[in-house]
Amino acid sequence: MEKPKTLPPVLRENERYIVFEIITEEDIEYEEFTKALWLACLSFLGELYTSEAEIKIIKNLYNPRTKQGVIKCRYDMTEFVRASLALINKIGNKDAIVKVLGITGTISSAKRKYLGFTELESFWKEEGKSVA
Amino acid sequence: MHIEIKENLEEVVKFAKMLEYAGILIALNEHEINNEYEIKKIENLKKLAIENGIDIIIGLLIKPKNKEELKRVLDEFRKKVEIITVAGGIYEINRAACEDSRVDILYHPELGRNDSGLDHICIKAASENNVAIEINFNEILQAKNRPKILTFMRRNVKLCKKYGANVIITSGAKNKWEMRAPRELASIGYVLGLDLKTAIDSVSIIPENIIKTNREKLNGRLIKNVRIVDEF
Repeated sequence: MEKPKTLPPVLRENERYIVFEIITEEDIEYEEFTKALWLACLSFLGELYTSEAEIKIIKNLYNPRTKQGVIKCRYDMTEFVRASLALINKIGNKDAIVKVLGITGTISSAKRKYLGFTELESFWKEEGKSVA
Repeated sequence: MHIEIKENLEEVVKFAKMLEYAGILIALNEHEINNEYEIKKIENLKKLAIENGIDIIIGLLIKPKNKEELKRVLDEFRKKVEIITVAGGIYEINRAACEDSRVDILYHPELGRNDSGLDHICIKAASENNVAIEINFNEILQAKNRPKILTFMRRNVKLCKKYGANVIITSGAKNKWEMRAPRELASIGYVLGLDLKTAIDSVSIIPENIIKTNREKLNGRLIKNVRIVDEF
């Protein structure tokens, strides 16, 4: 099946990435969290505003060990998504609090600032060598 | 800043550190504030809190049945406690609390009502007497009919913006799982119609100023708008 071409940068929507952390005493799976987030957004914002927020949870950045992850949404709806995150009090029968660590403009800065990823280039820079 | 009632206070302090709070207000009623055992328990807690860098404030929560009872309790306790709060819900009490400058915060004026509980006369008086109106997060979280409560809160916020009365957002938690980070509470204020700057002020600067001036008054450093800055 043929895909439509990607839009030019001027026509795309601006997006923000919300980095969050779940505070609980038990383990939480990715599916449980997505269910809780969608329910909270639908009940608080309604179908119309949830569609406007364009929420996506990035799957391969969710870490079940540290319980941290990234949500993508539109830049003028960040406060609304944040408010609906505050209204989550149970994730699959377990008491939980969702705490927002920060909001960034790109995925790579979210990784670098909050999720503790290091780039290979930074090792080269420490030793004073230029990247070939 | 937030409001909190009893039970497992050590764990609450740990959670407050995790969520980056600067201070916790513990609300007691009239009988508990005269009880030495309760006061001693909180004094012990203060040592733990100072290690974690959190300020603990003791407040009085009045739940009066009528105007006269409110005035009597205010006469008795104003010169003893740091913060005095009134639990609203009845129109007579909401109005009496707004018209008294000895009250600091009015809690949930729309609790258990079919309207917002405040009108333009109340809010005008509140802005003259420096009484802050509270938005209670726990009430939104536990509500059975959430849209109804949100509309009443939205109306109160709109009136407060027009007449310049202070708005405060608190978590109102009764156990540790009902606490939320202060910035999340500010986003609730933004959703309810405050602009972003005042929403952030309502969880930081406004409660801080109330506590600061009240502590100065209790120490005798602030008497009728005259402040002792330095002594020679």
